[in-house]
Amino acid sequence: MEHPNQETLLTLSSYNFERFAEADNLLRSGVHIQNHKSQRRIFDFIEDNIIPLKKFYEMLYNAKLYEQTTVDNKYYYLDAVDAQNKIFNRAKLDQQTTLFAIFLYWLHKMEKQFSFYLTKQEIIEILNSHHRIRPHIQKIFFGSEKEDTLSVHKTLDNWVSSSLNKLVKIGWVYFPDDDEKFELLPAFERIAEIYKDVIYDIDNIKTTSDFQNQ
Amino acid sequence: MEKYHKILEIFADRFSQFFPETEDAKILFSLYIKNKQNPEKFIFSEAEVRELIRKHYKEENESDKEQRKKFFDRLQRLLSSSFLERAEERQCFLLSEYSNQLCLLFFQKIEPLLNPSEIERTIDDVLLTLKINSDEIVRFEHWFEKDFKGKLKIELANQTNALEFQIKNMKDDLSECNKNMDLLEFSQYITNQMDIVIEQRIKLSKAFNGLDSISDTLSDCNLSKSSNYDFLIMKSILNEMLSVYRNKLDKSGEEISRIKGIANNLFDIIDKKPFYRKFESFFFAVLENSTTDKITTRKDSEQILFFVSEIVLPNFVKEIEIIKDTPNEYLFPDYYESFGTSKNQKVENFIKDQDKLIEAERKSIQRRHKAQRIEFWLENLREQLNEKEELNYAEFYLEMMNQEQDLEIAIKGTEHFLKTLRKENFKIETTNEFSYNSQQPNNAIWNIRIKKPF
Repeated sequence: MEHPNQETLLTLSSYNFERFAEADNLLRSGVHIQNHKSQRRIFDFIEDNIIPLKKFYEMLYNAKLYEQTTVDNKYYYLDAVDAQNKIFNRAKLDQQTTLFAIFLYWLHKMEKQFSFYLTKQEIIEILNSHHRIRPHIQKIFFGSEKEDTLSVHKTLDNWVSSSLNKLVKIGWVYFPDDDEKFELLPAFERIAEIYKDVIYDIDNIKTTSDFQNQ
Repeated sequence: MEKYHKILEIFADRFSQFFPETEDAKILFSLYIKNKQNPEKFIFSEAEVRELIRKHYKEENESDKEQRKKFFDRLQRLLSSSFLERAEERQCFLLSEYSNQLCLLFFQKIEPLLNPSEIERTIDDVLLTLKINSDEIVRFEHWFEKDFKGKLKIELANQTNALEFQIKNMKDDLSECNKNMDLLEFSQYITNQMDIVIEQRIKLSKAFNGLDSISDTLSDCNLSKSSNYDFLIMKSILNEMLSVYRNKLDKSGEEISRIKGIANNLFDIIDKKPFYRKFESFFFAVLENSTTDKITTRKDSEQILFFVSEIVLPNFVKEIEIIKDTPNEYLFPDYYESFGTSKNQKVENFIKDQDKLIEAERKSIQRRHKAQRIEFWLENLREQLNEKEELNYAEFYLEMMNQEQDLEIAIKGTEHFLKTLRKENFKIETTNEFSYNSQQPNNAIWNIRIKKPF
């Protein structure tokens, strides 16, 4: 029975409304949803109900369901409209994972544009052998140049594996079959989006005295 | 020549675990190829080996003295690792049996790359022998082992591997060319490279059609009609193996489609190049200015040694925040009950059943009480752990059960405690023994030892 004063918060499409719980849970867990085989059901659901869903999160959670397009895809994610929003717990991506994500984006766009799958082994080899990367990585992780020992390998492996696991959780990376080969998802483009302003301004930033003194 | 160079790269890549340096792998495989091209030449002079070492280690800028020293070091390493052996002739060397086997293993895999239509002939041969041998189980078993497993299966594996190699190479090659070529040149290059791979896949796909004839022959033969058990088992194994290779071929098709997809967006890729170059500057600025707060020694307790460092990124790299979940207080009924005074709320309150509200409130209070008790016991456990190096959790559990007389608190609490302590790097070991309280003999717990973090 409907009361004349009752306000409807959410009207979903009749043919796939049952996907709401899963979609809501994923979005509120910080997962990015995109048109990819692993998320297609949920992606289609969001696409079909985008207007009511946006309204729903805005009204009830003071949050925005963001919609971003990439060259050949699209992704959605939920975020609080203002930082003071207490309805969500927000987690910071740790610095190691952030550094890894920036490295991975560079690797994919500059060195492996045509490789839609990468492997952990491949990544570790690049970290160990790329003449421009290796000295920095060695300095950051070991303080100085180290031989390629088991401990060194394990350190890099640990960094790569734990970072990838975190990126999987937010829907930026996908492991299709095993724990070795992985794919970068369209939402991984968000890393460039987040740092867009700094990237465009990098030449200026590099010349500021503040930067030089770091 | 380019293909030969790529084969060397693939070899070095595939067998990198076997060699101290990937360059060593290239040197050995180069010697193997020389022998393959001229079977009589299996002994190599020091000058030949020296030339290969110089070529693959690419150290032209070094002085003669330095090069000589490094040459002897590297030669010594190849000899001491039994990759090379000294020949009877003075200052001459030959590949060891081990190196030969390793190179042969690889060469058998890579060889079909040079001759992709070989499989068609193999399928024809195997089909012919199948027709002759498919009436008697003994002859069929022989065919299955010798012709199918011994010939066709190897050939199928080689061909699909070869195609995989080609696609992988093409992807690496395109990524490399993308860095330097302009749009027009690059699009032409992609088209040419794709044509080569697609043509080979079409050939392979056509050859794979012959596999249907093998499956048909197996279904129609007398052994199949008589439902011979051994035959049926082997037939199903065979069909499974065939489907593995068909699947691999399908996957290669998918990969080609995806490369096409990237190629179709070529304009966008080229268009974005200036941005990617800026991103590169950004990335290297981050790398150059990241510092390590502290480098601790190693986490020996993990039994796998690795260095642990706290990375601090430069100030211009802002932290990335992602929503994680909703705090517990927003999931409890209290939150919804005090959800403001919207029009809905008033209407809802009006029609709510009073008994249901009371019941919901009682359950909410009960849940909170249990949560508080669990927190109390966690504190208690922490205090005990502060005093002791090691604690038998079973004793603690029985004590908690005894005082609370509530199984839910004990079980949920245990789950919560162990999860929390694990996160804090406490070592938790479960033994094969268990304990129970004589007053509650149906409720036992494994003896769990909790140790402080190392």
